Amino acid sequence: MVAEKATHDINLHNVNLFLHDEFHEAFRVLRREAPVHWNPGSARANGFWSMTKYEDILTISRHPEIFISSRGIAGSGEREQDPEAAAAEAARPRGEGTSSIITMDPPRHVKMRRLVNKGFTPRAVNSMEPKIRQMTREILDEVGDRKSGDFVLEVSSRLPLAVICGLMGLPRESWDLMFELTNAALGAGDPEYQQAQTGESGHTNIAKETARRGNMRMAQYFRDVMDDRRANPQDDLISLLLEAEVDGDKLTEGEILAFCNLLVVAGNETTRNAISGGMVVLDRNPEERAKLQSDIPKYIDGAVEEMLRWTSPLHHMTREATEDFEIRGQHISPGEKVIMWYPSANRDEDVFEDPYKFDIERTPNDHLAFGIGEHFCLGAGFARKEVKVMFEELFDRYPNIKVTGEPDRLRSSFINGVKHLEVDYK
Amino acid sequence: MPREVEVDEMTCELHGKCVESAPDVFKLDADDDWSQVKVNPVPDALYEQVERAILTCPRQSIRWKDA
Ligand code: HEM
Ligand code: SF4
Repeated sequence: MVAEKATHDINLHNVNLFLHDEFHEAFRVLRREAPVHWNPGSARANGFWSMTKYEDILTISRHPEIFISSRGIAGSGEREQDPEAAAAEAARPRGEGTSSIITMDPPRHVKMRRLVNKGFTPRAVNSMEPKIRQMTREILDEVGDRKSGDFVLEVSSRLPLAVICGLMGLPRESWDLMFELTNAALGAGDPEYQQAQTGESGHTNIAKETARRGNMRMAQYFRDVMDDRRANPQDDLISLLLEAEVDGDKLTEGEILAFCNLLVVAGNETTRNAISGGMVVLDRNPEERAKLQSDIPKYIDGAVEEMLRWTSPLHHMTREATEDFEIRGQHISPGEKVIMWYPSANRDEDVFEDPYKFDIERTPNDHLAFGIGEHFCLGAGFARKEVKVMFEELFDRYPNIKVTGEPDRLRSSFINGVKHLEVDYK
Repeated sequence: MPREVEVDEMTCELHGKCVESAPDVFKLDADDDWSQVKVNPVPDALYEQVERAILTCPRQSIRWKDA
């Protein structure tokens, strides 16, 4: 007997929901009416289970061996039309030799993560703080006396790139290239970042083609860096990964490439949007902003956490079930996709008092913007520090900065992105 | 029965949320490689603190030994 799956009229395949703030209202309704429900597939994409409650996202995250990451972490995947291809896909080995930790499952995942995690602890982050502050000041120096501009291009996108490039030992000249390539890889569903060229794979799907080209160019860039570090080892992450072993084996070149790729992508788009989204929400809540600016050392840590909760820069992460599982009376079967919606968890009425209020003194504020458990964001310490230092320095230099236009948002149900944000700096 | 709590040294990444939630149970000194349990078994009065630490540890590294 197969139980009927709960469904709802709201269809989260509709990316346009995410272009404005409408998705928050959609999630509010879903939390109340169908907190765990089956979102049917479309002609092209698989269906998926939607998790909208904080508690349920905790449950899924606590079982990384049942809800695996190696079958894809974004969206629900493309629907295989032909049954033979679908069977071949199901039998495909799970990314061995070519995947990074974010698409790796236990037990290998934690061994890989432990190769690098010492470089991301609060201690490591604190020791980098002077450098992060220096980078922030240089970025603001470049804005200089300009009266107005695009906050995303001139400010929020620049610091995360600088920090990641620094961590990986990449030269300053690489920043612009990385900016372009990460946009292509992640913003591929947005027309602004699509490169409408006819690729050898037939340009049927421009988004996919854009992402593919971005990824290829990034891989080539990192292959060159790896060659260089093999010859001249440095005190940086890439040199460390070239030397490292797991269970007595060196990492494959594919694994190192995947890790570099992951850091660049995961560290940039997310932190950038925490800063841009933070600017927007502070601008729209003048009282909270005035409070913060009245005593920055006192309020900044709380403000950073609330900006993270509020913006939830990653809309979701996906898992695939490998066993039968019951949750809130629903039955999840092996092979089914499960999507955890972070902005919804972060406004869950059962966990956050007055969740639609932006409150820089909110305590406790155990938001899930960085996920939780096995795959908890490795870069959370850097992200928090970057947001903090950026707003400290920004308000020191431009205390009257004002948002002057509507944020131009990214068309994506994965990243809560702002592409452009007009501001008056003075 | 008195309960003991443990920290998984493989996964703990020193976020210190446990010390925030349960300052009487966990400690993190500058040279610790993972969070240290100060009192085991945990006195009844501190159970609630520990439950909170278990819930909010970013890496989900804390558990009751008998659980
Ligand atoms: C505000 C900024 C950021 C947000 C909101 C964010 C969010 C997340 C989330 C939700 C995950 C969990 C993925 C999952 O459960 O599958 C994650 C993983 C990850 N993040 Fe971040 N992230 C941010 C910044 C960064 C930065 C700055 C870095 C690098 C320096 C980074 C590196 C990573 C890595 C390597 C993983 C994979 C961890 C694993 O699978 O074990 N992130 N991030
Ligand atoms: S909160 Fe969790 S990960 Fe952080 S120090 Fe405590 S046990 Fe370790």
